[in-house]
Amino acid sequence: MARPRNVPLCFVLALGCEAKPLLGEFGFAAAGGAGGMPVYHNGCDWLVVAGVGKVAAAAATGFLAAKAGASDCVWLNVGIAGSGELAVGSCAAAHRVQDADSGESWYPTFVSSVSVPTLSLTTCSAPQTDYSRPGMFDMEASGFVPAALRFSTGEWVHVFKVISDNDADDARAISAKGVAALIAAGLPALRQWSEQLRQAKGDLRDHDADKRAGWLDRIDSRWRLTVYQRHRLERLLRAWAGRDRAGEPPWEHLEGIGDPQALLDRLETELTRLPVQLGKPAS
Amino acid sequence: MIETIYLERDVRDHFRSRQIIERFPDARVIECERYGEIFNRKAQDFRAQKLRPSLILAGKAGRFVLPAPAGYGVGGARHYYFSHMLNCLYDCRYCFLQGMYRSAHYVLFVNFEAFAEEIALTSNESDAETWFFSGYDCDSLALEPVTGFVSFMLERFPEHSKTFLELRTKSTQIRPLLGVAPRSNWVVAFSLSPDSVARALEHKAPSLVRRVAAMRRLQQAGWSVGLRIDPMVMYDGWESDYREFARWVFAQLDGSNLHSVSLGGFRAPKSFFEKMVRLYPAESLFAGPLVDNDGVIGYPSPMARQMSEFMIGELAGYVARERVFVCND
Repeated sequence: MARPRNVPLCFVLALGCEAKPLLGEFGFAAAGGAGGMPVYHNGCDWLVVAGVGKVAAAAATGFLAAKAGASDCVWLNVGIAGSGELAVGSCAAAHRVQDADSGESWYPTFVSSVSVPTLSLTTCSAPQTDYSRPGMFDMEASGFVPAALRFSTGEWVHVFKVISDNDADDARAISAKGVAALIAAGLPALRQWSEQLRQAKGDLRDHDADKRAGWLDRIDSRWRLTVYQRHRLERLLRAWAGRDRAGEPPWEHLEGIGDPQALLDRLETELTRLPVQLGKPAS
Repeated sequence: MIETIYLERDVRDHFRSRQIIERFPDARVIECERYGEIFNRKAQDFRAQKLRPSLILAGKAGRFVLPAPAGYGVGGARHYYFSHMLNCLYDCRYCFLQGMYRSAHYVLFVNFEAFAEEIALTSNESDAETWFFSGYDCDSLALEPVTGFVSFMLERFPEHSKTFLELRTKSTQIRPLLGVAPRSNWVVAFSLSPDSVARALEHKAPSLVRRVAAMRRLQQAGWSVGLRIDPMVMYDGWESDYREFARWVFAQLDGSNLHSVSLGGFRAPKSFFEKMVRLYPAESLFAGPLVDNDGVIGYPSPMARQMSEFMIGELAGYVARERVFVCND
């Protein structure tokens, strides 16, 4: 699958009413789904509505990863949460996600600015109405985070919550319409942060990867290599790209060769003729 | 500079933890049970974390002083190293820490006293000359204004004539050293490379000019100073750059008063090297003429020898040969 030009955002939400504001904001359209988990796509980003609970969140994350076919995504769990520390309508990111049942914790790593407060988040198996404990409470994040970490790393797996209930506003009073309104109000902060994450991840991309993949495709279309030979080829092409940043492999010397082993030997010989240049100075 | 501090529960109330946290009033402080919950867990991206590394305050347990790897010594009989910190402020493209750790966060062990006690015990085990190296898993001085580790060691490191401390660094944070009388059993060893190499590969580190200025100030203050030209890097024009580098450095420093010089070609354990390449696949350093020398990726032995011999030759007019050590292991 060709890599999208932009880093895709993959949103995992529990409820349709939570998702609704994002569908409009990011221009999502229905893109299938299964097992009661509708999926949406906008040509780059993806969104899945998981259903309530950490098991549903983990399942939907895995499903979306398979559907999106992307290992190069920013993963975001977005939804409502309770908290005794913040007012209803406040947005927050999780700096620690703890599963209330197992006690296991995960620590999302912030590599870009976060304009919203960050708090600890505890994922519980049932709705909570005891707001005396610190941090936030939800029902999905501890399912989402370890599932998403199978497809990405901790810098690109985050949890964004909008506070929906606290001591003053009980969770039992929340309506679907109210949830949608809370999420909609949090969209500017979510949009800003998610775009910063997209940008930061994009800046770290291996920008030569597509070029080297093209070289590999060209060789694959002409020669049949063993797995061992292919590893050697990948190493040689990476070294070629490292030494000759703007150039191409010496196709004129390679095209006439029939034997893959001879092809690799010739490529290595040509490589040794290229000088090693130091990289660009640090800015 | 530090936006996130992870705080191990056991050192939550340690006076050093409190002092460090107070230096960063805007940082988010996140408590954890053990630093291993954050540092070096699976599914981490070292390169991404280098964008904004966090500080982890922890208490070290187990061994505080370990035998130094082969080839780390500059004379003496017994060689040990210790690491009050894991990871480095700088981002040198050749650094093996990139391959060794999954995390780029800085771990600072705040129980300095335990390091001092084990150093003293290890030193007392033998009458032989014993060296302790700081700066293997971190830069010894780079975070000194925050950690105060060197200031602590100035008070606690044994003053025996047979017990030596080497601080290995690229930092110019030398104020604590200049503020006290030089210690005869300490060596402050600076890692230097030609300016072209430093600019291309030693990201976020002080410039060659600033490092040499710091060395010079220490030398003038009476401190014993060492020079580490390790790793040497092979590229088009390396010989003229290293020749000019030697000429320039020894126009600034008193070579006859230099404690030691060690040098060696770029090398890294194969498993580390493979991770480093995955992090920076386009890095030209990794596209060099590197081979697998029994599990260590480096220049072919004849080439590494040629580089060492060349550098020894360039140093000949400045430093006595017996003070030059080659480390290609």
